[in-house]
Amino acid sequence: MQKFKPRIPGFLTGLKIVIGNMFKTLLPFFENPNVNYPFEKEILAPRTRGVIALDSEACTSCMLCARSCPDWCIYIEGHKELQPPSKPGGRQRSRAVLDRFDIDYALCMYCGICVEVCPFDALFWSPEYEYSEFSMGDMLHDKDRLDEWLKTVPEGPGLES
Amino acid sequence: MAQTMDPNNMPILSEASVSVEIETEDMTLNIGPQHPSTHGVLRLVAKINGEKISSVEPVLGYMHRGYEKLAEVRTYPQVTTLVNRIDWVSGFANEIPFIAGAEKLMEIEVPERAQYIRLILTEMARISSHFVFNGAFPLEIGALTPIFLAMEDRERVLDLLESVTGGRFHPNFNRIGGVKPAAGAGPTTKKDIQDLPAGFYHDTKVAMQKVLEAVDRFEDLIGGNEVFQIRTKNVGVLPKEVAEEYGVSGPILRASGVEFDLRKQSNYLPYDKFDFEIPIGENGDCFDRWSVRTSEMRESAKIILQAIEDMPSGPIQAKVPKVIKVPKGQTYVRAENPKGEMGYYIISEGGLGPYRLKIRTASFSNISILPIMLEGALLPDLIAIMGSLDFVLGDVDR
Amino acid sequence: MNQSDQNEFVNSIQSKFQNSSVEFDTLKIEVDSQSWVDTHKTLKAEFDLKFFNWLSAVDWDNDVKIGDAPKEPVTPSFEIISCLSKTNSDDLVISSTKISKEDPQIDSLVEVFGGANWHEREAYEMFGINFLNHPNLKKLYLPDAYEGNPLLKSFELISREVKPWPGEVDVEGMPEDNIVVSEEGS
Repeated sequence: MQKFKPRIPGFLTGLKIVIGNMFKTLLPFFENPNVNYPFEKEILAPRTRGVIALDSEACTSCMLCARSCPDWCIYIEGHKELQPPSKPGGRQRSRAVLDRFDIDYALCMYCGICVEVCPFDALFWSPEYEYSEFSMGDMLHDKDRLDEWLKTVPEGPGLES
Repeated sequence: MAQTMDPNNMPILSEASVSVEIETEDMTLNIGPQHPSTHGVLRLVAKINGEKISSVEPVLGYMHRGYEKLAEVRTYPQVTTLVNRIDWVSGFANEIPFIAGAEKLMEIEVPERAQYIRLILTEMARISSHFVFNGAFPLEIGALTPIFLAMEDRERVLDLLESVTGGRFHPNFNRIGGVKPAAGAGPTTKKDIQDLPAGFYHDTKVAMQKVLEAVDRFEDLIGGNEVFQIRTKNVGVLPKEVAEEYGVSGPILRASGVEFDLRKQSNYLPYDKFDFEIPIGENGDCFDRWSVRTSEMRESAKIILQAIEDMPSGPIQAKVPKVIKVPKGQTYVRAENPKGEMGYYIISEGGLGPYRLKIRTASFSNISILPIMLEGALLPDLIAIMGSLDFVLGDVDR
Repeated sequence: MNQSDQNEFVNSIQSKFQNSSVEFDTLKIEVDSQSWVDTHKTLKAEFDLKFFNWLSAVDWDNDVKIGDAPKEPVTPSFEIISCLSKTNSDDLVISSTKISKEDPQIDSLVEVFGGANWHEREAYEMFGINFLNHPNLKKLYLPDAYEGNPLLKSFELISREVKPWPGEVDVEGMPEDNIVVSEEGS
């Protein structure tokens, strides 16, 4: 452990740092670490967990995400539809149709278990974070709103070699 | 010839008055749950006599969330997401002993690349927690500058954590058998492997160089300041025997002179492959606790720079079944968290979740010495001692 | 972390206490509830285990209101567990004893280790175990007017009782009820 003998008296070190940082923030050609939100926004990493987006064409209502959510915040309802057979003489196939898929973001803890267990590529993470509301009831995002978030899902970063 | 007064022999004028015996009662001062210095919602009922404290009784439970009960109804991956909210400043380090315990019961061998990634992220969590300490402790003493510098440098480390795991404080990146393997289980998301992203090595080297400069700057700015030294040297001395009897661990134990660090003594992560030192204090006062933590930041940055150089390649998760059932057994695994020693005693009966999970947190044992250390201290020293213990209420109350 | 020193320590503990086992790298000894305090005094004095780690309890019961019941039937009892370790090596000993559920009481460890104070208060309020000769046995975390002991297996978790599980909505309806034949092919 080194002995703490200051190289110059203590308060002069403090003054130097304070005045140095003041110039760094005020004058334009220094690198200013501050980001002037809301006029400038930070660029977030592609894997950031901001909001969950749903691809409702791919979902088959298998309920795996609703069952593995630790908070029970996903509500799914669906029914089965029979479709005419693809070739004449074949049997009728049934397809699951999604009626309701809500995620309650007031309860969601952004853990990512639902995205990780989905076997049909229906849920994705997106780094959007500006969706706060004035009333708690509006934090329940229904199927259409979750479909809209799909446009904001970024490409993953490449991997380190 | 002018008569000069010797400052050591001044006549005490108050003793010239008539002294009267007055019966006084100690005042009860409630350093209440809402207070900027108590690191959360801690309540101290202090009986004071003038500025001296005669006794202190901490009242806990304002943040009790019932983790041990919540863990009994959840499965192992769900408990992992709960557990990084215990000590919310260093999120990644809380998951490690729990996952290591479950892996021990299932007898799974973790691949080497996953162990190195866990080690790098744990040391980053340690640096982040010690930055918060270096910002908040001088703020309580009265210095307003270091918190801004600490938070700015901490942003770089948190950005690195976010680029790998997706979350700054609650990474949820550990899985039984390694780290998170893929973004999902579908045909395309299965190929999106969550390994270290491109540009990680370069960004980490830049960030660690800035961390080393920041540590030097803190040692000059804070440690060299005379006011800081007067307020923290010989204040709150904790003897070795008291610390061991009460279960105090981590930097506080090392500042009192005990050479015990689980990173060197135990093998939950491959720390023996790297070259680092453990700073030990001499007196056990507040200044030693500050300087032990600041030196630890430097050692952590050195470990990360060494780990990036020789990172092995390979898979990042061992083969585990899809539905995880841990076989019957009991085990206790402990790890060196930034605040002290954290351990989990898992009793498993073969189900999807634990039968009983006992969480041993560092700050709970660390603040049980407050009633002993604060007897006879002055009221401003109470703030300095509580700040130097560096606890978080989520850790105390679980 | 010397392997031979660790084995020597494990052997010395196992020769002194009959009922001991090493499972998954954890050394656990079982003692009688009458000799709880004496065991700890021996461990502190003879084996140099001066670091008090933690103390807690486990509720063994077959009739559980939350979670899963144990696989094989157990006799209902409380098991008190304490953990001691050293500060110059990685040795650790977990001691346990069983007490009955109808009259749960045991001697307090506060004279041997001062740090047991808060841990025993927490076990008292969570399980209802009475620690004899404890200087200050009152609630630690919960408010004073709280009734019941939360960590017992017979104590329900209200948040899971009140809300129905969203994963149980069945997609497969009865064949007559839910099937809609769609007009357009796809």
